[in-house]
Amino acid sequence: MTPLSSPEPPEPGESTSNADESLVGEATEQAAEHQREQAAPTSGGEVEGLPVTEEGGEPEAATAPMPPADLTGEPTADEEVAPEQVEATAEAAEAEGHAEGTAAGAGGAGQSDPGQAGPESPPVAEAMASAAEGVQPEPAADPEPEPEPEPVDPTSPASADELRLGLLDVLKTELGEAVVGAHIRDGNDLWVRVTPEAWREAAQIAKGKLGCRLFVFLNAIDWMPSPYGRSENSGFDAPAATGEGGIVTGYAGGDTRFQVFGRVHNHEKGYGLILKVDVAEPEVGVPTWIPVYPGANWHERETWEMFGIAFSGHPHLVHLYLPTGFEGHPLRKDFPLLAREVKPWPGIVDVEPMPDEDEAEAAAEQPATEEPAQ
Amino acid sequence: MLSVELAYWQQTLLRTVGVLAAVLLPAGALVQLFLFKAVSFMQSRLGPMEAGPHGSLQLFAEVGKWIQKEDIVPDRADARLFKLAPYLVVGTVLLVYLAIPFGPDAVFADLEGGIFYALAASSVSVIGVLIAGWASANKYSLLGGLRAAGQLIAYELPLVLAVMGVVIQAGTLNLQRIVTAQADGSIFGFGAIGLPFAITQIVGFVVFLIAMQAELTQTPFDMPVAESELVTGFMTEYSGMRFLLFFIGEFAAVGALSAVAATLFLGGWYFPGLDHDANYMNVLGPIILLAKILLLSFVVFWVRFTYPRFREDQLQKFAWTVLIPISLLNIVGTMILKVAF
Amino acid sequence: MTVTESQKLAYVAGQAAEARVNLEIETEGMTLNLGPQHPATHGTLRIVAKLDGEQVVACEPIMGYMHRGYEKLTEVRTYPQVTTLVNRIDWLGHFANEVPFILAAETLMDIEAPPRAQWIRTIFFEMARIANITLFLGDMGVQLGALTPVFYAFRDREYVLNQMEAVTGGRFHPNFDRIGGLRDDLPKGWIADTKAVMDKVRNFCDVMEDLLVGNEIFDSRTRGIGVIPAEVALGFGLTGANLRASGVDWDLRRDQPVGLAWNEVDWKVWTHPDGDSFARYWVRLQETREAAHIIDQLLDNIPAGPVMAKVPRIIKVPEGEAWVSTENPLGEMGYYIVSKGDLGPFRCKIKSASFNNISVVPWVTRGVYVPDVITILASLYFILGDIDR
Repeated sequence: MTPLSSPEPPEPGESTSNADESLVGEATEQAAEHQREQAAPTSGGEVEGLPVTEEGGEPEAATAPMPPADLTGEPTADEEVAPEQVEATAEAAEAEGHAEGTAAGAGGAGQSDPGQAGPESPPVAEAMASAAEGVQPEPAADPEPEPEPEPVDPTSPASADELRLGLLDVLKTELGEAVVGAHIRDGNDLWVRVTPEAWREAAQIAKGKLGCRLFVFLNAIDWMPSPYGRSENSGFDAPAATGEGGIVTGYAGGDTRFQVFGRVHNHEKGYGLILKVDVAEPEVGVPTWIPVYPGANWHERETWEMFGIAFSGHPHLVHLYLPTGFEGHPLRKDFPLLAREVKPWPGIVDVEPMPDEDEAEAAAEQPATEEPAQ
Repeated sequence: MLSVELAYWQQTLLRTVGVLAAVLLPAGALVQLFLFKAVSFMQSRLGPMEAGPHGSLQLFAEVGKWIQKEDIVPDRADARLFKLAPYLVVGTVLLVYLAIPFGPDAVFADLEGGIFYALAASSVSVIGVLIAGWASANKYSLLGGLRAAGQLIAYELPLVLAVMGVVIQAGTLNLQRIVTAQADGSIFGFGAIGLPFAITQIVGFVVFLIAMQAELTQTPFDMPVAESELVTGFMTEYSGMRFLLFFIGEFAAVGALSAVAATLFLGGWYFPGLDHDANYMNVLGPIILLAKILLLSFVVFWVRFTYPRFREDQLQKFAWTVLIPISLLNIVGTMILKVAF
Repeated sequence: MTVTESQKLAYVAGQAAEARVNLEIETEGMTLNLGPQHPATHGTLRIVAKLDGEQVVACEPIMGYMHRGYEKLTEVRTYPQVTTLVNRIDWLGHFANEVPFILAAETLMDIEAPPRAQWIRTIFFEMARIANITLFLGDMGVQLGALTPVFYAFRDREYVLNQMEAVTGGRFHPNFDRIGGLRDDLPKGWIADTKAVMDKVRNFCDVMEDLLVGNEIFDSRTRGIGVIPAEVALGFGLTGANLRASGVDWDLRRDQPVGLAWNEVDWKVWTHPDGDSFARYWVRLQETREAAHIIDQLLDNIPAGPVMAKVPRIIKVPEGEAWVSTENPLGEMGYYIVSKGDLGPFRCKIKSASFNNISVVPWVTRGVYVPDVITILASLYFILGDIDR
């Protein structure tokens, strides 16, 4: 991995910390070795490595890439990832199902910001406590049916999309082990997850090497299931949401409750790229993208105020939408939507099952209840 | 000559009423005819339709509305100056009408330096605008006031220089005699229509109209009141009666400067074919002048609702690099022709 | 008149240098609040401008006065209910807001609307574009002081809205798009009426060309004002006509295979090399014409068939993530939907065009005059609901 010089003129806000550099340097040493190690497993990856959703609503789809990530990621994970992740990795490797590991992760994430739950919202604390205990029974629809014996490289999703495989190869060549997850939907999109240290570098490579000069957006996801369900007072689907307690991340995997993701686009060739990064500690956050894409400025401010995720090196991290003194981060799942507490969403009745059938049945009969439109 | 002799107080009363009528009548007619109706038709809408037949009483409804509104003085404004400014603006317009002749004898004050006085009086209004802008304690108002000051000073010059050609040709500063000179004049010996200076002073006329547009702060020179930038500039903080005064002042000024332009370039109260010494012209004259005022004001409103506005620096550049050189050349040309013929 | 890249940069540098000189002679600055209630912001946007005389030293938009938290609200709504919300994001381009969301849900569910629905969607999409951009074409005149064009814009936009209303029942918030198709088919006689309306739209474009584009004052107020070079536009994520006016030939309607019918007809993507306010106006004017052209062709060839695919009665979107964006009137609008196989989205990131477009304002207004700030804001064309969401 060669250190890239920023194609943008340096702005006053740019500050690449030395810590970042050294980490990147360490990663560089490992990169070549790691790739040699990975050569063999990669070829065996196509069996499980296509976690697509086209088949329908099987819940395993979104989580499939993750367990393999843990299985094969051991040599690399020790080097650079957060301790929580290592823990999760170790536990998942015991093939006990990763519910425990992720529950612990959720607990860690939840405990990191206890101040967010106001005194008026006991459900938050409750949910956190239950998540932290990690003794939740395994959900009925456990995402992982059986740990696959053959190791699969999470960064090499099986795909027939030559273009996006090529893009992914470029990123892997440049970033080495910093690429920790990837997903391709053929002919549509590419998801790549990188380590926090490589976050800005990934953007630089996307801009410089992949020609993605058009910045589209940057935002974050809170993967914790909402402790409130769809409607606080309806009790309609609240049990399903709170009962799981675990964090199930989406495409390209993930180990933390918060993920920052951004999209950049190559307007000449007509492909885009969604970059994801795990945020273990929101207060520390990830490096800012402003030196690469000046348009990231407001998006990072929005992400900061909505999720409380900091962006190191951002020159002006203040509220964008909300009043200056606003407390809390509205788009976090544990931030209650007060409008729903005052008055449940009346439209919720539209989607409740018919009076004579219960919800599970409704779900089971779903294909049968199709009605021809018009 | 008038056959009746009036006492001094009678004359004063007559003149006061006359000036008020002369200010309010054109102003009201302009607002009702052009601002409410003609412009609406240009913009593919009907305009006011409710008050009176086809909205013909809308003007009174508007005035009634404005009078009823609360008179607000901003907290940190300089209250005395703030209240003074609208009267200053309206007052200057009244002063302009003082020098304009409406007929052979229907003139409020037959001043020897009439045109000089009229232009001087019209530019006093900028002081009212500046006061309004400053006293409002509002940044938009301040910017508007400053822009107005800069703009009015810049356009005073081409306005005066454009008039110079007329003065040279007529050989007098007296407005009454400028009218007579146009009535008596002849074009290459053909005297049927007199000689409205709009024909020989066409360059001066155009420059005067443009400068007039700027003096009146109408689009495309309406930066001081720019609705979309400065939120009507120096008028931002005014409400109720005081805003109405500004409003009257604005449209009365359109009438006043149109009257000056009509007098200087279109023959004033005289109409070709009429006897300019006859007594009946004292009655007919004001009507003829009003018609000319409306004609010129229509051009003002026509332009106002057609063009976008300039930027402040473009406006200054236009005044100093285009209008002033042209009007200077016009003066030189007029002088040469005056000496030659 | 074409402006080279170096000329653009020289202009920008010159403006900045002028502002610096004024700083050096230490005239006392003034902070001017444009908004939140200001005619130029047509909405509740606030722009804090630090002035030196009438020259802008720094300029910072402040928003959030209209933030409605749609991203949070989507999380407590079902997929069909979300379209009601997103209608109100760019309220002038109403229908166009629904389409990318529906397409994203359809991508995840792996269903496709029948061809007839796709064509009608495309027609409505372009009609929303006309309804939106005609107002811009008139409003730009208002911001520059020409009051008349906007009345023509309102008049001719009304014809388009009437046609929308005839089908959807809503002028502003049609809420007509459904996962898997459309709510209804077209009423009888609608196609002929719409063609007549398209003639009016073309006529309107001609009028605007005469009234504003051909006007010298308009020219001098917009040429060379607010120049955004292509590289800056890309870095700030400008999209739509703002990007095309900077010479970037990128239009999602053409460059992205979405299941709509744009590729079935013959049309052209307009670009302008200058990147200034005039270019942005000009490109939008041409786009409106082009939209009328597209609609005309589509109306001639609407395929027969149903307008609704077979979809489950209760819509549950399978797990997964999808990003779908379309070329909305204001620029690229997209939805990043994260589904957990539930009735509603787990997370729905709404990427609106105006948010990116307006983020370039601090960059582009450095060193310009106050009236130019208004011109630049007007030419970037934002809808408040599209910034704040």
